[in-house]
Amino acid sequence: MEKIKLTIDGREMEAGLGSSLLLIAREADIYIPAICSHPDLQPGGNCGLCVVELAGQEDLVKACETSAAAGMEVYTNTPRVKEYRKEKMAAILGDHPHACLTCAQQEGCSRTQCSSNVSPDERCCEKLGNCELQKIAMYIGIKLDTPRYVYRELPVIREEKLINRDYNLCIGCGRCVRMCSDVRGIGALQMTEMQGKLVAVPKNGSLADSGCRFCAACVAVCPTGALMDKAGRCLRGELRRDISKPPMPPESWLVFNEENVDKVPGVEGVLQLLDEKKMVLAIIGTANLREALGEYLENEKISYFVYEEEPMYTSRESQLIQQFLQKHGRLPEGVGDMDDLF
Amino acid sequence: MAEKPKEYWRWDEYNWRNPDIDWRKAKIITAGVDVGSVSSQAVIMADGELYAFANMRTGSDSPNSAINAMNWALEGTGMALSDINFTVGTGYGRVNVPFANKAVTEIACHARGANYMYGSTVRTVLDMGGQDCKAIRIDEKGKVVSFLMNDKCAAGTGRGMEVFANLLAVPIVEVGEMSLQVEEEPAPVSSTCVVFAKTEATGLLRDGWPKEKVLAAYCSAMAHRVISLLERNGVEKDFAITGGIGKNVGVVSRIEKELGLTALKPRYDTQIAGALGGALFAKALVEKGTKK
Repeated sequence: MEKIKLTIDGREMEAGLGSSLLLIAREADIYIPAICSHPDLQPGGNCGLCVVELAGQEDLVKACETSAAAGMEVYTNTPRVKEYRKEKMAAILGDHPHACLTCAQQEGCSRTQCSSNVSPDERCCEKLGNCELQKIAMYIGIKLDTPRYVYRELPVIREEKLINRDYNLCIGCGRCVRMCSDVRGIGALQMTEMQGKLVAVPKNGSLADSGCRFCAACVAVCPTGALMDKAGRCLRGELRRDISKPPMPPESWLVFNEENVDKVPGVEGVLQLLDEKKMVLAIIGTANLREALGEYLENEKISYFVYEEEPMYTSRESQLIQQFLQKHGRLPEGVGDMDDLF
Repeated sequence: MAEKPKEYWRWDEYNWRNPDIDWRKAKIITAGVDVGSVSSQAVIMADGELYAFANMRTGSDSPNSAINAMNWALEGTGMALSDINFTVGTGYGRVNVPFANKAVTEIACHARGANYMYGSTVRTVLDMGGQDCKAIRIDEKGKVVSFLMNDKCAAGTGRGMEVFANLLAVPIVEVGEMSLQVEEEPAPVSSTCVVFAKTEATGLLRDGWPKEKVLAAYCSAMAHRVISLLERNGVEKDFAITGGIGKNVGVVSRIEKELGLTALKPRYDTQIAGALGGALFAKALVEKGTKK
């Protein structure tokens, strides 16, 4: 393939002529949010989140549909780009329940009852905390005038074996349809309109009647809780391994060294100390972030850290520990200072 | 001048000392100070034995609450703050204990404190504090295995109970007993949110419900609420309750009934569990330091 040179966010790089900007950026570890695209699929071109700005060009372009050309200057994170992404995200969220994104208690919620009094139909789905749409929306940011979600009473199908469907949660990205037809070669799914909203449905009513093989590859690529397998029983091992994970928004961890610690403000907040695999070792609420970090500088277990400023650091600390517990089924391992005390 | 309204929510602040212990003979003296949202406790241990403690309301600023509680615990012991080898601060205001050598989370402290207070058989600890409640599962050494906390507000916590005591003009220490004086258990109030429950209770009183029945309905709503928390975290025998609500028989007996488990009887005031755990951490940290 012929090689050309271009710059993305000021970084000069080489790429094959004709590859999409989205792919080139991903190769270079530059994150561009995109929800209809998936590493294993052709881009859908319908979410509009992957827009970027090209030098000398008035209109923003979709990174997934734009081919690289020699000398291109691409900017992935300009104010215009950010604003446009927010608008697109607002349009998606207008038709997707988003109490989970706007609730002050979204993290560390016990899920035993809803303190925001959200109507049961619009409450957080099972994907809470593990949802691609949620993570991307948090990364892009939610516009203040995001339209209120109105429940449309679209079908929720739990009667079919192995896979549950909830059309209210579908955002019409079409990943499942492309997965089913292009990758799996089955084509049991298609896009259709329901009350003016684009959703993916089985071709002949039920999945069983549409030739579905219940491989659940569609579930694996669904960025929302619209398609869920029942207790993870389908999706055989090898197939699960074969399906790539879409890139996630970058985390804000920093390398644990004196220079970075000095940049941390000396205010109240919560720290997360990570080992070399970026696994959380300890979650610590403190009245002085910089001082607390300084105490651990000698500790060789710690390679990275994350901090957030938070005046209510004790309760935030408990929330984060609780989240960790729910995700990993155990407490953080600790950094050694409290080992073997008893 | 208008008469000061009676404060039914007010509970007794007090200090205690073990007369059988001579602290001057102890090798390691440690302290734990738990500054909570509603109450603060200071515990002093001599060689890992509970020697003295004080339990009082948290004032408007945490450092003073910590100092006041500590001074009160020291009162009459002849001990000075400088005699204490190591102090651990815990609770929601833990970093505001100016004389503490280290801060430890209240979850770890309550677990350790419960282990000391109730013995090593405790596996499930329910800490019902002033502004939150936590279900904690611990191992035989008092180490936290998992925990879950109510994340929301004063619903189902000590502060909520105080608001209710005031509303019904029942001294807070009598709330539990009184709530049991009903012939038939009423349906729980439908909301545990303090604000809504207060409105609901006012309505019930207007409908002619006796105070006992309203209290029963609130205690059972509170019990019901923490049960769901406990069950999500998993319940294993033995079971114990720490924190102020642990002294409210109305709530405790309802939790026991719904859970089908009897809570262990505490050796000391259930409110000191956190500070006790802090003092135990302090002792362990001193020992670890001297071993090096």
